[in-house]
Amino acid sequence: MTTRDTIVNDDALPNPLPRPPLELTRLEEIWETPRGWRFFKSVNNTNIGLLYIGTAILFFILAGILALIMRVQLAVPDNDLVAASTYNQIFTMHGTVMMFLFAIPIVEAIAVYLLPNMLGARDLPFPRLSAYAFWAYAFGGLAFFCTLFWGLAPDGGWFMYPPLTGMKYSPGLNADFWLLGIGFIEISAIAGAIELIVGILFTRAPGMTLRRMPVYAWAMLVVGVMIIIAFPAVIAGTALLELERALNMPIFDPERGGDPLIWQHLFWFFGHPEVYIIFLPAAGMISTMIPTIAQNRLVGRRVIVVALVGVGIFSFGLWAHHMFTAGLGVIEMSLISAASMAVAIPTGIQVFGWIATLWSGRIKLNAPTLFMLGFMFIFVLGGLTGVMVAVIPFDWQVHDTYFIVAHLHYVLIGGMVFPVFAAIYYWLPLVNGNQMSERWAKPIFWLLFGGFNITFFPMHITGLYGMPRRVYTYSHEMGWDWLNMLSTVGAFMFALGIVVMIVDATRTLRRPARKTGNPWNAATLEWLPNEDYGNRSIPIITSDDPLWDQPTLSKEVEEGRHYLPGTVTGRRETIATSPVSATPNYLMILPGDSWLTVIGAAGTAGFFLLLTVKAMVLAFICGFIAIASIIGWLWESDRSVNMREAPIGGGIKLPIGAVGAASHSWWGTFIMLIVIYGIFWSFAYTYIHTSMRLEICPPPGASLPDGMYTIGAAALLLAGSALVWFSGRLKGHGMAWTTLAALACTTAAFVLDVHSWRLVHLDGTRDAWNASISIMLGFQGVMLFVLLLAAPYLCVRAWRGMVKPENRATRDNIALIWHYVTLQGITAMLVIRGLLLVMD
Amino acid sequence: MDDQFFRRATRASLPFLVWAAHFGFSYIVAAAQCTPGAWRPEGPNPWLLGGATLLALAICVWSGAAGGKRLRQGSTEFVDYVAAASAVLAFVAIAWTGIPVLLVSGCA
Repeated sequence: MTTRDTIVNDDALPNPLPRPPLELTRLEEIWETPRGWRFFKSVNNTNIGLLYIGTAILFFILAGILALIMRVQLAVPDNDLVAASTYNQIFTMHGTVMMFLFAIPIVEAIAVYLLPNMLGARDLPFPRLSAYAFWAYAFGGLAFFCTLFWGLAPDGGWFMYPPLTGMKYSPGLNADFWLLGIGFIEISAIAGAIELIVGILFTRAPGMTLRRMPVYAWAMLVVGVMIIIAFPAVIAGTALLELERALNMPIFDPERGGDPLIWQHLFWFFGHPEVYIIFLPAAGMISTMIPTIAQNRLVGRRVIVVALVGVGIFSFGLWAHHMFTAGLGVIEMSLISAASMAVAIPTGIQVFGWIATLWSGRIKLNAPTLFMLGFMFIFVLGGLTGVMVAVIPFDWQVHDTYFIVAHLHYVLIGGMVFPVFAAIYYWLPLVNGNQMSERWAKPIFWLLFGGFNITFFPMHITGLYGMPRRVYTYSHEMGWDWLNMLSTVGAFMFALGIVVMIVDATRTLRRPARKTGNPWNAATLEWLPNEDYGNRSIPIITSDDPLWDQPTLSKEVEEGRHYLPGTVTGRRETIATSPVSATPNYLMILPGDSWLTVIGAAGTAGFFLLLTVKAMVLAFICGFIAIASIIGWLWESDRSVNMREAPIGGGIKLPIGAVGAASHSWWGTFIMLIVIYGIFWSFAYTYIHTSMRLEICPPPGASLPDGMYTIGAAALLLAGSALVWFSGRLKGHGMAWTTLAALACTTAAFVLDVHSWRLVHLDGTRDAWNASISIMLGFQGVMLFVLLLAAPYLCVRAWRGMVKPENRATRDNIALIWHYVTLQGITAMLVIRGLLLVMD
Repeated sequence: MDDQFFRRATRASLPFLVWAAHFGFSYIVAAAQCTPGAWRPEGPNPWLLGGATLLALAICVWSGAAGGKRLRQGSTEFVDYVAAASAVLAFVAIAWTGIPVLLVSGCA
């Protein structure tokens, strides 16, 4: 039998019984989760997922307490429980923590926890990256939250519009904590997205084609891609605002040619897709739970998948509907308005699919069902008010009123929190085999559902009565008293529901563990028997609903009769399959547990937070620790094993690892570079926006450097890339010296480019046009810094004989980064000069 | 990739990509022609925007027809189904998003 193109049919399982006596013992030893305090060095995604979910729920509770303080303050008119300045910090932190530290992390956390088992993998491809992302989020998030206790919390609203958040109106450190803290936490969200995309495309069980892939995995694939496209904009935006605040680069200052709308465009290009980044995972969970609850196949499964993709793409055309009062052109606003309505079509397709599945099935009114029905009711109302605010004249009336507060909470709590509650009830048995109480579930649901609607429905009316967002108090004459009191009563009902639910969940988790089984008779693979190593053997999938259509699968997998029932290399490993047809491609070696991820994350968090308080020496020590830890963990990867092929059963022998574009690490690097290119284009957009607003461009006193310098710099960049390409054909010392020659070329290109701009007196503080070019140039410098670290690293590995034909991932990835730096540098030159040609 | 991931992904999502390209193009043209850098006194060019809309719709029709034809010929490939279904969704979205181009003008 050949290696790649054969999926064994289910009556000829690849591994016979009985299994060798020590096979399972070895597997258990290699994957064993460390106990006690060493648990925290675990990198297994299932463990990290649990930590991630717990931390996200902690932030949900903290931000919820802030919400209760706000509701108490607004319960009666002219209240002075909290001062206006404190209230500003509280509502900013409530929104920021809910969006950045709860909503996005929990959807990624649930995916990190569920997907390895749902896909039939032992683990996802980059467990250390997941661990690093989690710890960075946990350390950074907790430190960020603590700013509230020192009066240093941000106070400019969760979307931090300049000029309010510029140095003139926000001179303290509050805004800086938001900009550096959130910017860095977003990096951990991107790391999670890379793990999810590559994991979904590379580690699905053999036979789980894209068509058979669970809808939840589809949703997370779409969300991963959305994060990769959307998040660079907010990272660039936060960098620009911080550069304006710290270095006086006036990107958002209209007096020096800047424009505050640049921030709004960048923020909402991230911020609106983010709503769908939060909603689509929830939709994926619903599409997974509903068939189980109804004991019926998902109606319109294929069209629901298409609708998921459609929502993901259409959501990028909606950003400016948050800016209808900002003075955009009438055609731009109309386009955005139309797109905002168009996105309702694929969303509606999913809702109709769920209703049809429930309609044609046999519904059991248990806890997950209640929360899913609650979700549908609330989310549909939120969607309808969404279509209302997509109508421009209506939006003008209700913009920045409590109507918007009501709308966004109906969308976010309805669209994400209720599905997460349903998911907690549904998937909690995976943790220790116990289910939460059905008896408690009904009062909990009614407290939450009733409390939610009593809180937020009246806000539609207070908004229509004209109550603005973010006011810390109001006078009795406005007539908003009883509506606000009602909202406050509802908020406390909701909080009580949360408290009882947490008590029940804690009670459930403290019960003795027992065999999980398949309590809901679900069809998806996470309900296969699994331990630290995932499934005993990696299943062969022949159906959309494997546990329904392959009734003996559970027993066969547990007996080790499917693929890879043990460990071949003596290390952690899983099967990498092809992205479309999921045929086995190669054996993927996975890294083991390590403290380096925790130390690296602590160093990264320390660097950003200490930079914010301008403790430069300590910040750079932390930065050094972070880089050293990351290099340390990379150093252990891409190593040889003492065999070339791995038998996984059924006569199939897979190569160990892969090179080039076939390798998961190449894909991880490629996706990371897409993110970086997104950040670069956000900076380039800033330059284009700034230039297009000028009557004369370049502005008086500014000019472009002599073209010969630019041509020379571009030639040097290309020479650097050519040398790196050539170094791939060499070995050992030859590769190392050629790489160093390439580094000299790329460095010389940067120096020449900077020199040429210095000759024409480029000054990043003079005006926005100069600043935008300086920032693009500076970003090229940042990428050069990466190469200055990567090139010597590669050279040392080459000199030590660690770069071999079968261990080329380090070289291939560094070469990819190198070519990207060339692309970015040349793109910057073309954008800067090309725009002026177009404008002429 | 050995199972032509990028080719299949592009074929399946082409109509959505066309929607994105049409939307981005329309927005950029409308915004640019109302700034000093590319000022057009009468406002954004309706013929340019209308032409782009017709071209985008035509590509969706072509993509949908191609996917539908393969399905009628007995293809069970998921990519053909997605191509046909996404063409329908993208066609509706482009037509809907294109309406303002016909009804609205100027920079106000």
